[in-house]
Amino acid sequence: MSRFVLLTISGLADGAIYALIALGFVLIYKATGVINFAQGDLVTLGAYVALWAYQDLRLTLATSALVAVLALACTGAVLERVAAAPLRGRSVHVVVIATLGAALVIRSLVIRWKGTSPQRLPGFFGFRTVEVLGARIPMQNLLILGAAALALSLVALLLQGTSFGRQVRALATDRTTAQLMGISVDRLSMAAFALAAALAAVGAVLVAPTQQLTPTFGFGPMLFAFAAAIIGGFGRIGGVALAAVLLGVLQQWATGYIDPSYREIYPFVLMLGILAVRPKGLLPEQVGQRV
Amino acid sequence: MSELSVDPAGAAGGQPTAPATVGPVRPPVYAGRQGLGLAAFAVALAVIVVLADSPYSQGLVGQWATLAIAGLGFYLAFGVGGQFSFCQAALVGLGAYSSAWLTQDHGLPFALGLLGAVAITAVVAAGLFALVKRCDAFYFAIATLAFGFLAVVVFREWSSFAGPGGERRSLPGISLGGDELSGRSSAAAVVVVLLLALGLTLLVERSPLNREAAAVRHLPLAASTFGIGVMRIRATMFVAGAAYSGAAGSLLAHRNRVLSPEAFDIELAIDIFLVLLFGGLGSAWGPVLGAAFVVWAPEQLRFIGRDRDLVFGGLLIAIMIFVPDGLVGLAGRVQGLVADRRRGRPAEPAVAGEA
Repeated sequence: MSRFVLLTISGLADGAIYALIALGFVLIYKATGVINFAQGDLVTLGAYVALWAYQDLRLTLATSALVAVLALACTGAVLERVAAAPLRGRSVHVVVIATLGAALVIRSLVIRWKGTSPQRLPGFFGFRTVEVLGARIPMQNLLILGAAALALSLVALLLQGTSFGRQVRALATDRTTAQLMGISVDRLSMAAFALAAALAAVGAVLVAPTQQLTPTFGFGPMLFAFAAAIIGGFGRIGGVALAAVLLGVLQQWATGYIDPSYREIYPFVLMLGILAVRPKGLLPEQVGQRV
Repeated sequence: MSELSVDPAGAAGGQPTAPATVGPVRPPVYAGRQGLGLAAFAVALAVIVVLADSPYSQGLVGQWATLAIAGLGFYLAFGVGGQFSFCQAALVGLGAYSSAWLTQDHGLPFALGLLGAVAITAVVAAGLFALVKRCDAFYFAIATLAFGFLAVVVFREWSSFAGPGGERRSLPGISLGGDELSGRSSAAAVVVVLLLALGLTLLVERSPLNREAAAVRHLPLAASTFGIGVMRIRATMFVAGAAYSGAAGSLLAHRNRVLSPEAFDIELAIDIFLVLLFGGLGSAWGPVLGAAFVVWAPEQLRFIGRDRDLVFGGLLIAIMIFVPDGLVGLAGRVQGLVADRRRGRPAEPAVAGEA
């Protein structure tokens, strides 16, 4: 029983991180119609910026996290200017390849800056644990759950209740009409990239204390977030978040009860299986399908 | 040497409007003398192989030819088939491990290992395609990306196929009729495979299959109303591309003689992207040129060697923004411009065949 609780809560925490990253994809996809393959390296960069602020600038952990989020928001905006804005209106493949190039650039800059040896970002609670139903749960996992839930609700509110959100949703529904109505793609696209990168940084500072920090740190979570976004159907935030959490839990269960050496591939097996039956994911986007 | 024989869509695209000389409109593919080009290329390759007298330069030639074959595979899947396949590197890996498994564990000769690698890769790719064939562009890309990641983990964990931890050492080299080839003849063997692969691709390029593939790529719905089997074309190109990757993997395995799963990670995938995109999406000559650049540039320009990923990543963005049709397309545009100038017509923008 305690093992089950432990696995489930770890899974929920993993899923929350995947949800934060996947939300970044969905935001960018809704606003611009492309997918940002640099999201994983933005996660890595976020963790390294937080580490730098904490170690080299000697800021507190909370301030370091804030620095990382702000720095990443700027990076996201720059990324949009460099790799997405000049390619507006071109085939989606082209933009995907450009973001992939950007990912490569970010990763090699991180390597030049901090080297490849593993590092560790401390967490707010160190390695302290609490006992839940007989299982010793790391407090960091509970923090991840709370913070991710907060961030997700804020973004959901932003999309539902503000002018920005309405414009993004209008673009996602019908690009041409939205543009004719005077919605500025340029501004929104930049904002979406900035927000997505900021979310990546939130995910990074939350998850970094639970594992080693290396220059490929964000790549795996990005792929799992892809899987979650696809299973969730890419359109709806609730669907994607649900899929991400489910994926995290299933991954932990499979790792704990089947075979830990294939931990990294369970989400993809699940995703490929679902795609074979439902090529548009479990909860497909309802309006305005994009080609 | 190959720029001369390149068939640029842009150069020939404007010609059918020329007055008086009414004849059947020749699609641009038939305009270039592909056979002549291939022969010239073969001669040039023979000279290169003869001139390559050090193990270092022979190694570079082999590396280039292997990467060019993998690039041709990506060209078939993406450039011709229009499917954004992210798993080419993993398919190269599958070919490499299959060939190693057949030759080292089952004692088959190199030639059978190569053929077996091609067959295994093609079969696995056909299975993958059947799984994800109904997905649209993004989903297909991510599904194949996931497959690539999955394959690398499987190489690492499945020790009875890939060796303990996916590490294989002292593989047999490239051999012919029982004798192991060394140095120059081994590089020559790889080059011969490249020539075969390129010749086959050029044949595909000027066949009706290519015409149908272009229709499927740009207007799948219209193509299917004209009776073209959209799925059939896509599957053919994807599996053919995988077969090329399998061949490249086998050659890689027996040239390097060591394998480890990390070699087929995202790095190789990026290299294969660059090979195609730098050379140009619109022609089979693109990957050949692109591979030459990817192999040669880090060797010659030391500053690239140190920051390879940085330079290549930046280059990827720059190519997408400034020269989306790559070197071959650029050559075509220049050639078209010159031809128009000579005919006294205002230069018109080159018609890029690609999106």
